Amino acid sequence: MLFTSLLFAAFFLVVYIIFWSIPNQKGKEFWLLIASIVFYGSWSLGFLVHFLAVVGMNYYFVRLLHKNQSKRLINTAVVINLVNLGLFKYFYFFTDIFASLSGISALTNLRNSTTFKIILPLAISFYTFQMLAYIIDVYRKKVEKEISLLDFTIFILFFPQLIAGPIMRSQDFLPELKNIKAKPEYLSPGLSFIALGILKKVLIADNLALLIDPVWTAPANYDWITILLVAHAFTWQIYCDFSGYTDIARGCAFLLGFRIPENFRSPFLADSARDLWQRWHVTLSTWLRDYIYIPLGGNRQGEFRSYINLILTFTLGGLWHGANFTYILWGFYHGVILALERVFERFNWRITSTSFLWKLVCIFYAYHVFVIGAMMFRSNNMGDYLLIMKKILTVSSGNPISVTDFETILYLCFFSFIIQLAQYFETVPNWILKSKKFLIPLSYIILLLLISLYSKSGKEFVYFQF
Amino acid sequence: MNETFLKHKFLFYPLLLAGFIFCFDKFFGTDFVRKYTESRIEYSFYAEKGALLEQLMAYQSTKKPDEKLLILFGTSHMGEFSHKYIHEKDERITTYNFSAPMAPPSYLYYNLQTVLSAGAKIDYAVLEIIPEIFQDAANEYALKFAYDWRFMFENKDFFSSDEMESFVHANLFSVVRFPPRLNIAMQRIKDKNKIAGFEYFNSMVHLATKQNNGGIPNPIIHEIPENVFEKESKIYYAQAFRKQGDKSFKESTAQKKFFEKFLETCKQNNIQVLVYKPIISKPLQKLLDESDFYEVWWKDKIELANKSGIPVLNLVDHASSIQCQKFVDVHHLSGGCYPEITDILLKKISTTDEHR
Repeated sequence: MLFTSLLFAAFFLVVYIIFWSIPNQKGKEFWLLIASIVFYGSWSLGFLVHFLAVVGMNYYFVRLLHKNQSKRLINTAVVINLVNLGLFKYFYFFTDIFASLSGISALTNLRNSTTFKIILPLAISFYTFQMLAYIIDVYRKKVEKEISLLDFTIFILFFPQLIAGPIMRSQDFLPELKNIKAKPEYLSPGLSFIALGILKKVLIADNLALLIDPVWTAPANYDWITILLVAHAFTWQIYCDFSGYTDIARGCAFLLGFRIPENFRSPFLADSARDLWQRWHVTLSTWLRDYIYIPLGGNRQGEFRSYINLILTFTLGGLWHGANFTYILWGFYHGVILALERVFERFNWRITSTSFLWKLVCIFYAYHVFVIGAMMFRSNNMGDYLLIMKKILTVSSGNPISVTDFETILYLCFFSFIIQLAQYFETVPNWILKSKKFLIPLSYIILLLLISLYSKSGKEFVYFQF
Repeated sequence: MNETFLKHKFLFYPLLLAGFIFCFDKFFGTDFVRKYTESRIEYSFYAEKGALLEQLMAYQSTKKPDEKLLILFGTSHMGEFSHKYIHEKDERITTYNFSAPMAPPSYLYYNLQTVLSAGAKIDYAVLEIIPEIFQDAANEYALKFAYDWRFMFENKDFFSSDEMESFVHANLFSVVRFPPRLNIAMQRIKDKNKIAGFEYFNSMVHLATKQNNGGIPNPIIHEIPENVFEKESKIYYAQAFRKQGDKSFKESTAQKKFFEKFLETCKQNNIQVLVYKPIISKPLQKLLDESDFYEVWWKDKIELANKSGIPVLNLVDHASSIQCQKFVDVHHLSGGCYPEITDILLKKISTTDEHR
């Protein structure tokens, strides 16, 4: 059920009407649970059973950990969750590696087998991380109050954020769950976020994907300018795709009386790689910091070790995205860049000018750090990545993209830049706030007209694959 | 606590907004607005089919036993066939044309089903196929303007979820069927003659359809100089077969199935059907011949037709003997050249008829 589909709109309308018709708290909780189960079950009933079993098992561990803060117990819980994730997500990746090392042909053929196939359950990476965070917090005594199975299940399954985050923390969500209130101040942001998310996803990301996907599928056919252009275009596509999803998720949550955390804060206006990661996929960055970087020792074990920890954390973050060497390289690359920035800071090599021009240079640098990473992230495999790098570095010839497509890509990127710029200045002008009752319907009508004119076939959200 | 609509009236706001948008959308679907905002002509061709069916059924009720009903199913290439010319050549045959711009096999099958369900007895059918209509994109107009809920439901296993969704969207939202082009509206507000021009075109389609049993034959020979065809063919080819990765053609499994269903249904209803492929300009044909998909695609269609014992007429095979080859664009032969190809078509039909 895609957020941008009519089916989801109808589903959400029904959920909304019934949710705000139920007078009592418990009834609302049960209804949220049913809605979330239906939402996930519409994708796969089999995996719904698997998902609920994993939730049940984790709840059991939570109960045990509340009673007994045992290291063995937490290790077992973490290992089981990682095995569950690894089995579905990395099975073929590791069997391929093992096959190439051992030369066992049966393993090589496993990926193409028609009788044995492992399908990646929807949202497994996100829900695994959310559950791990909760049980580790219980172990660390950051969460001391025991919660019911119902609350735990809703916390994990809450449908607006279930598929691709934001990765929530129980401290943010559970207080609102236990005291569901209709908040008038959530209404305008809720509706505005939904409109903004649809605009980003349907009008920008999907149209960009349509233009650039053919180039990513066969980069060897294209010239270096086209490759460079689509690298930038993908950067904006993934931003609009992922942040568009998050906006819709937040908008829906707001309308149901929940504030779920922000995941994107104008990342391409960051002025360093570190700043970038405080603005891009914020909930994953903080998860990696709290549950990998700090347990590895963080910066408590000396400067050099902190660099290693940083690189290791981000490399694992890359692996979390998918079972492909391009993701691992992408994570490693960002870890190295962040470590290098720290080295510069440590030796005071960083220019600390406050001039506007210098700020622009820094933004240009941080943005291009992302673009270079995006090429690794989007390449189908390492071979393609090396090929596109070679094409760019050797100014290689090939087919150009058509002038019309070139122009459309530039317009779309510019449009998304304007949106990001508007979001950078977090305060909403007074005249907008005053006329929101008029502006919200107007923006929906404009959106409807724009979609009717410019929307192409709906594509899945990029982060659904993770 | 009673956190409900009854206590908080502001909770109604999203529902009112949804209702308001839904109603506002309907405003864009009204004839009054559409005459300002609509610029595409395809709808008129698809919309005429209801009236055409009524016309056909009126003929059916008076049809004599020795008369033969020929129905043409295809794309804009078929529009130029004249029912009058065919009747002149063989007075037993009355022709109806159920073709529409870029109509895919699913739409042609839909029309076949509609005509058969209405009770018409079809003697001959010509099914035009070109590779363009075997792609997903070809279904756009039919999903927006043609199919009904029943047809979609009955064939839900064939259509992709994207197609099902497009159909639902188009049937719930007027702006999806008739995207309101504001620049066109501005032009028409400034110059009312443009509205008259658009309405005149629609009435012409209606009139031509009525007078020509669904066809829009134009006997005048138009000709575009051949020297522009090379460049135009490349542009058309790039648009029609948009590259998807390293492939420039991705056949829709749904359209292939509907092609098979069409042939099967004809066979079940004892309709003598002919699979027909039109002639196109030489530069475009050359691009297709050099492509990596065309030969495979065509061979596959011949095999499917042969499997059911259905004859195939590839007009390209007759290219050397066709005298009149004037094109109005890279893939449309001028209407003035159609008598010659109509003769070839009728000859093929009668030869097949003799062998039955």
